[in-house]
Amino acid sequence: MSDEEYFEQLVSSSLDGTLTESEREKLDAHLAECPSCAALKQDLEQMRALFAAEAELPAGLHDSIMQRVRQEERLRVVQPEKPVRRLPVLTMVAAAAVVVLVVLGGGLMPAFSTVSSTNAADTATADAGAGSDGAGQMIRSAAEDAGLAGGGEEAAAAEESGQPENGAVQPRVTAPEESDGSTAGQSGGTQASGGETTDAAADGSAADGQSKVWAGLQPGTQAETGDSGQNAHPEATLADALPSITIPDALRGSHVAHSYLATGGAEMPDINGDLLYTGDGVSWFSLENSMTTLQETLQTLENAGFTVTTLDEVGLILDSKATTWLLAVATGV
Amino acid sequence: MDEKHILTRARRGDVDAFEELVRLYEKRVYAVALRSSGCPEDAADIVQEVFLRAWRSIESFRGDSGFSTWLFRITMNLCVDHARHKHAQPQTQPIVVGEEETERPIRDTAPTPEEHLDNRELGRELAAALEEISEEHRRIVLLRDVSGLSYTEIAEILEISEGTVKSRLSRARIALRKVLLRRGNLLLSAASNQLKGGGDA
Repeated sequence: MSDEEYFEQLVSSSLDGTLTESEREKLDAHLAECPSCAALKQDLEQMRALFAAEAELPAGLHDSIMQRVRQEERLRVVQPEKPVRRLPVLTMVAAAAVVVLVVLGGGLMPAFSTVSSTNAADTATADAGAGSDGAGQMIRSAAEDAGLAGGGEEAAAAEESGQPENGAVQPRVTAPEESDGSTAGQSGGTQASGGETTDAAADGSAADGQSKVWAGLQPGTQAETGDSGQNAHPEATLADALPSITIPDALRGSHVAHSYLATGGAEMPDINGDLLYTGDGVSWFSLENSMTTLQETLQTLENAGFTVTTLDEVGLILDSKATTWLLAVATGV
Repeated sequence: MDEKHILTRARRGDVDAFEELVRLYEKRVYAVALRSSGCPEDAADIVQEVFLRAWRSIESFRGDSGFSTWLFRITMNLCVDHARHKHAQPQTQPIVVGEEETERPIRDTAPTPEEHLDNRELGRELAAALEEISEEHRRIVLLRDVSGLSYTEIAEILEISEGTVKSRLSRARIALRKVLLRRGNLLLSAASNQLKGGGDA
């Protein structure tokens, strides 16, 4: 390190209060005779003041954050309508396979060997449900737990996040009283799957339910298969929970930011979006990808008596950069 | 209640405990997002996303590193994602000024040193200057000068030694100073003026 660099570094460190006593003396002596370093010190101090200025938290931002978190919590603990039953593992695997076939729908190429799923947070949710009697009801769990989920991308995402977790993952335990009076919630069994699946959610590219890709529908997309039978944890209530939703051919392969399925309501509420297709009792809407639209729409559906779950693995490309999101409202299912 | 206790409850899915964590960190996360994006609206989006992701994966947070380290790692990743996405956007950007919003092309000439840097443009100018330095430098400046993390925390987030933090931070600040001087955004000290006049900037 040259003298110049050495003193520049001392100037920089002096801003952070990390100089030793002897360094400070050296720097002071140097500053007295070096206008260039004195100017540097002055400018760096001014820069720091610039950075510190005017960063007040906007009014309402805290509430928006918590609204999204609580919304997420509601989606996370969608309730099963029937008491949970435990089925033998083989039966469950079979049930899950059947369900996946239904979800895939007619005319779709068989894609079992080319499915890749990367949603880490949801995988964790699914695992948490699978390890116990309780079960989440998220549809995406079907494909993942049937042993179709690829582990490669999750591991890669975890690596990128820079915080590998090697130990057992502690599944979320949602006590009934913590979920707005709901009764079942997700029960957390203990399980020791690779920690990488959950930690990946911390990464900028993996989380948000937006990075799942139905790789099998994309020609040339890297294929990943389930890496072991141990991953096959179909959920007991899967067959009960999954309506027969088949995505219209015209929408297949669409890039959307999110996709949700609303079921259980009798009457279609006003949806602030474009109706793309209606058939088999399901109406498909395209909505603007904004937090406001998403929150308002989910609230509207909830008010109308619908239960909203995320709708994945049905031939959509989840893309966080997409300008729209897809909503399927099933009134006859 | 200390942070560790709050964290334990939040990891068990206690939303109220998580809200405490949000309160503790939202301002600093917002400051980083604002300085990185230069736009209050974008910054608000980033902050919401940061906490949503933190919530989704908090049960996997084991406390090996500090919560702030973990949270700001998520923040940095989202800020970088946002900046990359923004680069792919058309060449006009909304400029949000309090209540009003106008649309104009990105400034392509630097203001003169005499031009007073309006507070309303401060955020945009800082973000623009940050975009001109390397991503490595941008990250470290944001982590230290905006989020106020310690050398140790930064070392952990960036997975470098504390010695490297020190030297990289110095180089990053000097690189940023150069850009700010060129853009006329520092009220220059007399000596800086001389340096600039002498062609240093």
